[in-house]
Order: sequence, then structure tokens, then C-alpha cells
Amino acid sequence: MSHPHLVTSESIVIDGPNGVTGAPRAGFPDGGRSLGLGLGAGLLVMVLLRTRAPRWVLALLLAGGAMPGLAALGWLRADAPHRRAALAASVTAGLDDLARLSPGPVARTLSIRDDGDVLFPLARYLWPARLDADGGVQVDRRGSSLTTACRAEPSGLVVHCGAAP
Amino acid sequence: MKAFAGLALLHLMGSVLRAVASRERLVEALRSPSSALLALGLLGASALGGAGLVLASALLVCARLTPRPPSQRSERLPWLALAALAVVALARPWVPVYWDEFVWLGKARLESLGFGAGVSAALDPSWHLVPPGYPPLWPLAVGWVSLGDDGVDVHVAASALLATLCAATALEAWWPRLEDAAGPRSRWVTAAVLASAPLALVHLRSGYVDLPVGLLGVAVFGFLVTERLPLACAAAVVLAGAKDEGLAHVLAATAGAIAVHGVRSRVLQWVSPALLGVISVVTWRWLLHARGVEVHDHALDAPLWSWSGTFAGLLARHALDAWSWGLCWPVALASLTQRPWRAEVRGLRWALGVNLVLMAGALVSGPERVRVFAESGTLVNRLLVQVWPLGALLVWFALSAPRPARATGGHDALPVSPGGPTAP
Repeated sequence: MSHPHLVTSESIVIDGPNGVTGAPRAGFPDGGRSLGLGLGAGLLVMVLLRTRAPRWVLALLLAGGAMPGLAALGWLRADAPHRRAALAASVTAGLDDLARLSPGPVARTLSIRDDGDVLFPLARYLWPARLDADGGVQVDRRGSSLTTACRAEPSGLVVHCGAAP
Repeated sequence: MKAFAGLALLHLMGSVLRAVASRERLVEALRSPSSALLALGLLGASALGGAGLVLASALLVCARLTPRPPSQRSERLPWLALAALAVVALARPWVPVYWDEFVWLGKARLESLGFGAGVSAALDPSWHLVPPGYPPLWPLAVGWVSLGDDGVDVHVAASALLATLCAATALEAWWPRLEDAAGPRSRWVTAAVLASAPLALVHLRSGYVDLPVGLLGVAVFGFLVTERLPLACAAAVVLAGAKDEGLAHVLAATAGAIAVHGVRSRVLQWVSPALLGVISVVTWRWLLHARGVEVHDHALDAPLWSWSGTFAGLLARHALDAWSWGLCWPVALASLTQRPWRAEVRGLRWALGVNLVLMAGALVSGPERVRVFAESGTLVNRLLVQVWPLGALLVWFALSAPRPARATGGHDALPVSPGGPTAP
């Protein structure tokens, strides 16, 4: 199938709980096939429920249907068990880098730019509350990578994180 | 370890409160996972300050006066399965890794500043919490279970333990009926159903609140069906305080319970959880209004009826995505064509129907921004996660249904259901 799998750490941060694959955001490229499969399975179940077929057949059908998704969770996705350490490391590195600006949770930081979906939630974890106060660090976050690479301007008042401006 | 200690403390507090308020034996309360919810509900009301007084009083009155069996504990709970579920929930990176998880756990950090700091921050527009106006109980609960520790690993563990608590509560609420329906097979059927929806497993380990909301919704329903009203009331307060959708789940559970029991003279007692849910929401919304905090995401507007078809299409495409849901939803929908073989099945259909109608209503009448989320693939599956526990129970009862009799075309001996015989 041509479903976009969530194989990068960034795709897990953005879409991990929105679907087992990236199909919902991609507009279900295999929607027709899924519809056919679902309708077929539904009809089969209706027949099974009306016959004297043993109920374990139904359980088997249910288990078989879950296999592709479970395989994606167990192997393909970036949060699969064997890739979990790498995912945690990339998030931790980003959090640590941002925390050097201010550990939070209440911060005097001002977001002057935030055009990346990936660094936004990290900053929200670190600084869930941002006071209206002058004199805080102005943070400029760009790009869609977990690599924060924060670097301060010579004045120290503006910090750029993420992709280069 | 701190999060484990926090949950144990919460459970102990809830058990003592339950022993005092509901006059149960302390040892019985300690052996019931749902005891912690009474403590959570009362702590949540206390965190609202003086405004929470009505809610706290109403919860205690319900815990004390609503009818209940001598012991509200479920016998023979599958503790080993619950322990396995906890392991699944905890076997994850101990840092946030999903978008909203960062936001929820970030708010939990505020509670390390002091009891109720999360509420103060949410009610002060100058603190710029995102998204503004969301009910605060879930992040507060994570903060409390973390015992005020500001460590990221403690927050993740606390969140996972709370999700497990919700799963345990849902199982506790339904276990007497599940055992009654399937006997010794109930454990295997439960395992098969739990493993059949891959996206539900993602959410169990995610720190998102959608699955806990759905689990608490079926818990309210189950406690109502089994006439353990004090527990239904405690679960309803936590549910309505955790997320705006919580009230819809309480109302759906109430509708389902009335479908099971029928409208009797005691119907007023069965709506007590819904009443508590309404008090919780009204209190929070009044506080937001008084402090000038606007709720952008969950504001209601003139309905855009023309979008209903789009929503139906989106719902179908998401539910039939086999990667995320396996065949869970096709099986659940196919089971609707079967005659309800127990009164609980009839109630589940009502609860699911009411939930879907309220969900559609909220989206059709909600702000444009929410419909954009739905169309861009970031919302509908999460709404389906919220109603998945109801769908899973429908699948559970389909797997446990007696096979049709050979000669007559009817059913093998239909069990007597708690609400009396099912309608022909």
C-alpha cells in the first residue's frame, strides 16, 4: 500500500496519535481500498453473526485485521520499540537546548517567529506560561526539524533556533 | 517511583473518603481502582477555590445519598491483565514525543509551583496558556500524581499511570456484566478486543486525554448500569473536568443507562452524574467568563449544516482505515444489524448514537478552525478514539453473543439482562 508511514521522529511528533500511518493527513490515498475492505468485512461479519459459525472465527478476523497496524507500531514507525531510544534522544536534545534559554515553566520569552510545527510543542512544554513582561529573550524558531541548534545574536536578546534564517 | 507513590497516595485518599462518604469498608474501597476518582474529583473542585464549593458539596452529597449496593467493588477483577496494561502504557519513551502531549504535560509543570497554580494560570489571560480556556483537571491531576516534582520523566509516568487508572476504572465498571455475559471466556474476549485497534494502543501510551475521556465515559455508563451511583458521580466529575467533550460523554452514558433500565421513578437519581457534569462545566465556564478568558476552540456558533456530509465522509474514511482501526469499526457497525441480545447492547447503541450526534453537532456548530483540523486529518481519529471504548464493548458483546439456534432461527437461551428481557 502507498500509505506514508511515520518513519521520522518529526512525523511522530506531529502525527503520531492522529493515525497509525500518515494516511489521515495525506487524505487517505488508499481510501477506496480501505472502503472496499471495510464493507467486505462488515458484510462477512453480518453473515457470521447470523450463522452458527463459531465465534472464534470472528475473533480471528478481528486479529487478522489488526495485524498491519500492529506491525507498523512494532516495526515501521519511529516510535517502534527498536527505534524508541533514538526518538527519545532527539527530543531530549531539543528540550535541553531550549531549556538553556529558560528552564520554565514560567518564562519571560517572546516568540517572534514560529513557522515550524515541530519546535512549537517543545517550546510549549518548556514554557507553558509566558508572562507579558519586557526584557525577556526573544525566540525565533524555524523549520520542521527536531534539531534545535539555538544560537544567540551578539546582543543576547534574540535567539534563533532550528533552520537558519 | 515518585509517580507511583503519588498514585498510591491519591488512591488511599479516595478510599478513605469513600469509606467515610459512602460508608463502605475501607478494605473494600482500597481494593477498587475507582476510589482514586473521588479524591481527584474533590481535589479538582478544591483547586477551583470558592467557586468549586458547590461542585464539591454536590459530589459528597451524591457519594453519601445515592443508592448503591453494600459493596461497590467488582469481584474477580483481572488484576494480571490490568498490570499488563500498565506495563504497555509505561513501556514508552519517558519524554513527551507527541504534539499535544507536550502541551498537556507542560501545563502539568505549572502545578509544581503550588496547589492550584494551573488553575490560576488558566484563568489569567496574561499567562498566555495554549489553548486558552480548556478545563484544567487532567494536567492538574498529572501534577498531583507527580507530587509537585517538575521532572519530565515523572510527568510522563504520572500521565501513563492516570491513563491506566481510567482503563482499570472502565474495566471495573463493566466487569460484572462482562463476566455475566461470557463467563470464563470473558478474559480472552477482552484481550482480543483490546488488541484489535492499533490506534487505541498508541493512545494508551500517548499522554493524550482522548482515550481516558472515552474510558471514563464507559465507566460512568457501567457504574450506572450496575447501579453504583456514587462511583458514577465521581467518574462524571473527573470526566467533565478533564475535557470539554467530557460532558457529552456523561450525557451519552446517561442516555445509554436509561435505555438499559427504562424510565423508572428513580430516573432522577440516574441523572445525578449528568447534573454533576453540568455543575462542573458551568462552574469552569463562569470562572473563565469572570476572568475574561475566551474559549476559541470550543465556542458554539450558527450551525453550518452543509458541512454535515463532509463530516460523515471524514468519519467513514477514518473509521475504515485498517492501519489505525483494523476491522474494529466494521465489526462494531455490523453488530448493529443483530438483534440486541442483552439490554446493555441496546444501551451501548444509544450511548454511541448520542455521542456521535453531539460530536457532529459540536463540529457543525463549532468554529471554522476546528473543521479545518478535521479536514486536515488531525482531529477525527482522536474523536473516534474517544468513542472507541463504546465500539469495543459492542464488538465484545458481538463476540460473546450466543449462536442462533439451528431449527428455529432464534437465539440459544438468551440470558436475562439486568434491565429485563430485551425488546423483540
